[in-house]
Amino acid sequence: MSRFLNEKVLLYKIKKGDADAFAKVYDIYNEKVYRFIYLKVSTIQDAEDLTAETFLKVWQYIRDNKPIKNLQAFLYQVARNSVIDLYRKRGSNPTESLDEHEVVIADRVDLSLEEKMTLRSEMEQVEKALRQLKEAYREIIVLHYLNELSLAEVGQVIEKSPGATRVLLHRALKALKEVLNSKPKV
Amino acid sequence: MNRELTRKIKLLKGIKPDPARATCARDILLSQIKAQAAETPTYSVVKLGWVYTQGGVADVYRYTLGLLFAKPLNSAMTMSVFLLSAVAATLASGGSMPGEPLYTVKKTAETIQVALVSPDERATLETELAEKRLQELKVLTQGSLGQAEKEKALESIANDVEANLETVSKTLDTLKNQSEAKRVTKVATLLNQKTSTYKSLISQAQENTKLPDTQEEKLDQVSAKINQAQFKALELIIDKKDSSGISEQEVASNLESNLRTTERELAALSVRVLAAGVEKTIEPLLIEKSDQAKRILQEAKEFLVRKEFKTALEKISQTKDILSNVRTELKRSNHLKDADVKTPDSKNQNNPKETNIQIGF
Repeated sequence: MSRFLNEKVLLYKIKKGDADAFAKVYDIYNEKVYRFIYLKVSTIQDAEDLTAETFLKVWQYIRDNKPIKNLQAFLYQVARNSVIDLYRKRGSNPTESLDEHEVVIADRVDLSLEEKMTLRSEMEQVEKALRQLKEAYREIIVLHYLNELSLAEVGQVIEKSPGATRVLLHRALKALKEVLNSKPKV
Repeated sequence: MNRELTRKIKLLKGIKPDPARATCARDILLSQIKAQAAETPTYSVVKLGWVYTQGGVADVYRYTLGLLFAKPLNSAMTMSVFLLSAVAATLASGGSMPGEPLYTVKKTAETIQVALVSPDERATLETELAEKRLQELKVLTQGSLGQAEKEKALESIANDVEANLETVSKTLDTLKNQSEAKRVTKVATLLNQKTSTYKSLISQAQENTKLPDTQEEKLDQVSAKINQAQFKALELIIDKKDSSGISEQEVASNLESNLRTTERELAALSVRVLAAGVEKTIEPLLIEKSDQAKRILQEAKEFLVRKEFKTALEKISQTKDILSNVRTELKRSNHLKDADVKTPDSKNQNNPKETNIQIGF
């Protein structure tokens, strides 16, 4: 079944109060929504809380019979808004990283310990660089490269045309490259 | 220019929620929504069918007219044309194979069909779909698709068959739990009958072309799933014999067909063991195992004659386990044999200069 058809069916079932269908949506999108939020906030705790809040809000929205055209895009929009709400309440800078994520590379059994350490270091470098970008750039990179949305799908999330999305992505990559190149290599 | 950059960005895919905490969060979330969730959600068949049709039509659009029209469809006239095309595409997709553009349309139409029927009919339909997939597999292995495409298509077909069998298995469990003896026996009997067709199609696919190891393993996985499903079906037929009204003769007939299939598999495997020319140390062990399988199968026959159906089924199952072990051993020793055969030839091919020097002397 295509993702589109699958989503339509799940949406219908959730409207009817099917908790299993909602659980399926959670299983499909949890990791991606978490990653999306984590790279916007400063702590793992915030990322976890906001992820749960996102899904709860989406459940409520669907149960209230409000229309959703695209479930995936809607999830990210709710996630985005949840982060904005959090920082409005706190009034703190969302790009300041206070927590370092214990990146999961334990399952890479093909790597030696040294390789894992190099990989971890590289990941930390990229994450820090990404956090230095402006919100719009960071968002588009996460959605397209990490969460594997097509440009059209990213456009639906950020409410821009495919053309504008493409331009934004190009600028985002350029900005990231500049930040990475300006960092002294360890 | 951006390849290295995107490689680095994609490293961050390693950012994942802690599995234990994610599971806990999931449970909490589901318990929070439970108050609002329906205990047994009921769906309108018409509405659900419409949802599937909408999604299916959108998929047809995506894979057909969507490639021609860049902009979204606006007018009713265009939509009508599109809908007619969707129907035509669905009808035309009937013979399409994995990798072809209309194959997705075909699968979507099947999904809609499955969604609109009752659970029993769904189980029946899923057994038919599993057979269809395996027919496609047989045709695929005869065809001339590229290796990578074949591998992808085979993987997709194998996954579909496993999913079909899983659905049938779940239906059997549901019916069993609902004490629907007649219905569960009907589905189980059909599944049992189909499994010999499934196995025959897989064998034919394997005979059509030499498949790489990964694909062979995938097919072995599917065969194992078929065996499991068949065992479950037979167990249920025997279990529900008294309450379903099925005659002893029918039960015996179901078991007998399974026994005969196992006998044929055993005979074919015994021939392979002798013809394979495996290592001298391994051959006697494999022959001994095959003999053991023959003895147990003979016991199964005797139990069947005495109408001790449960024991007969257990013996058949033991035989299948032994056959599976023999197949694995045979594959392993064939690999070792191939590796030994390669080594002397490759040495000469890789070192022509050395050969010349030897000739020179």
